[in-house]
Amino acid sequence: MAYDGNHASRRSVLGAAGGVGAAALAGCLGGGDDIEHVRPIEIESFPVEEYESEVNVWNWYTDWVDWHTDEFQESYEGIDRVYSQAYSGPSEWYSRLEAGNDEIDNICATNEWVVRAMDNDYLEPLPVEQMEAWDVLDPLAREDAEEYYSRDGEVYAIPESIVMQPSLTYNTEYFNSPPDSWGVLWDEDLAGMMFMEDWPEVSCRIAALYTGQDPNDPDDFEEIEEVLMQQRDLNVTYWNEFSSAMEMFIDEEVVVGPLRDGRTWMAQFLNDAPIDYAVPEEGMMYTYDNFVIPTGAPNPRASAAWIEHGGQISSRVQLFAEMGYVPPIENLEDELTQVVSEEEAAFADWLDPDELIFVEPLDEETLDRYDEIWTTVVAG
Amino acid sequence: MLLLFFILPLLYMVWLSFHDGMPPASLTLENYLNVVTTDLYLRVVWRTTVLTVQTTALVVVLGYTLAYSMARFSKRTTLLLLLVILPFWTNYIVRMYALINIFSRDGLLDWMQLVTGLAQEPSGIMYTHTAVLLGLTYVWLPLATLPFYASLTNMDDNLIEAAKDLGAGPIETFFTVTLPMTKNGVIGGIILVAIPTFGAFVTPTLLGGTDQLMIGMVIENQFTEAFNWPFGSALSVIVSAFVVLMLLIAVKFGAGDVVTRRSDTQ
Repeated sequence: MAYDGNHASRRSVLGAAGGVGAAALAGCLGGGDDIEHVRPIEIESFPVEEYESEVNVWNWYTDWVDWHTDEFQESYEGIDRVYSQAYSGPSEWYSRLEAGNDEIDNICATNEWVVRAMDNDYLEPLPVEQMEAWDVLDPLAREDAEEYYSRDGEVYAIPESIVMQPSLTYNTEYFNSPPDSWGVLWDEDLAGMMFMEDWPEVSCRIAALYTGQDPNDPDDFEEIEEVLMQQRDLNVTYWNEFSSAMEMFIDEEVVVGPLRDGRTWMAQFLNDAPIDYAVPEEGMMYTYDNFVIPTGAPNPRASAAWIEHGGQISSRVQLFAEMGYVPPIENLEDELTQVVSEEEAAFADWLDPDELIFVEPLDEETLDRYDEIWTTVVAG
Repeated sequence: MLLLFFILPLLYMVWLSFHDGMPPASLTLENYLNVVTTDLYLRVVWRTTVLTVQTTALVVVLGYTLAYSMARFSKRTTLLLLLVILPFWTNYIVRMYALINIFSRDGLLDWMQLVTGLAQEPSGIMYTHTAVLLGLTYVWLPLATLPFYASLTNMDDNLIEAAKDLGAGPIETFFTVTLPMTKNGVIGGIILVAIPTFGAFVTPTLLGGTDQLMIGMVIENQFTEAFNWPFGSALSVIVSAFVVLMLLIAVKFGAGDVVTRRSDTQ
């Protein structure tokens, strides 16, 4: 669920409300075990033999966390407490890291927030060479992590899921065949039957693709603004919250628009909605949600163990079975059919490198320009 | 405590707003110039002001009516006051999601309109200006009703009787006696509603459509997505200036009377 961003989902908000007390308690109690404190990078072998008795995890894959917590505690005897917090936006945990973290052990962090945290020394490097959670990754994910999530040869994040950011989701009953271009979002015949995402980085990138530009490094911002202004009145809304956007598809209030693959999967397989994703000819943008350990984590060994256990193939495929988000592993379809039907497993068959464009962290100038453009567009 | 929790954060925000990046960075007026010279932000501020005025007006009318009814016509005021503050016991976000379910197409509002024949087919008001206006009104109505009620119950009923004895009708009595005598409560309620409405971003984000950008949403975006904290701070300072302006107006037109009167009695 890359970037449930600044957007509160129903589940995450309720989860957060329940989890916040436990998390605060974890912050008070954390790190009280009588074992030597080490940095994660100093852990020499896995599975970790000696570890703290608790771990405080911030992860928005709530259903998967519930499942994994039981499995984890079964595998690691002595982990008495797993505190989990379903945050509604990355700025929640990021502000805690800025303030000096002493409570959070493990975070599921999305792409640009990993880079931001890494650049400000808020993350611990990980002993990836020792970890199976790293070895099982698809080469694409490993290469991306080495390129974007590493500094001075040390890797700071291990991809947990690979996510369309966004998916081009459409109603299969309305369309005879899948839309083949992002240009469908500019089709005036569909006015009042589509929406855009209220996030500059997504919407401006879509516009960049539509206008034939590099979404990570566009050269004509004015054209991006122009086409977004043209597109403006075709929308029902600019959505800001994932579950509401998904429900608009389920209720058939919209027939096409940007979403996420996981949400599309949930609507299709859990709600029997007639929707699917299309692969546009301009390319599909993708990103990762990642396991990271923040500096100041009071339970670093237990946190590393959480990643190693959660990064096993058996745990990763469960993320897809629970929530429809794709694990970035090799032999994906074979592994998925162990836990879901062939039809569901086929849903994850979108990892064709020729059609994929990685959502690179933007430089400051592009970020500012995208933000200005989007503010202008939304202000009308 | 006032210095630590109120003044220092405010000063830090002001200080940050004069930088061209996160400190240490050079000082600049560019953030303020950007706000006042870009009609985009002025348009957003104007739109926010309009929505704030509409919300405040609606809350005053509904809240005052509610408070007046409780104070004058009901004997179960404790129960009614409890009902007024009941929404505060539920999380703000949860209340917003409840409204989403009510306002959505085929939601409760549609159902009621269909049942009563007010509409022929479901349409929903989600993602409209009306949805945001009703959402903000719903959120702040209890907050304004309480000072309205307090001022009404503190009023001397004999004044109303005197006005009637002197020949004033109900409407004239209300506008010449009741409303002026409860002016402080009304102004207090207006302040309690207008200030948070001006900075609102959750309600318009969740309920609004493509035309509902408010200044609070722009500020929130600067801090959490654009990471342009100095510019976000400059916008925040402007919003804070609006708040101060509101307070000054309130003091000038009567809320200050309350403070003065209380000081006199101590």
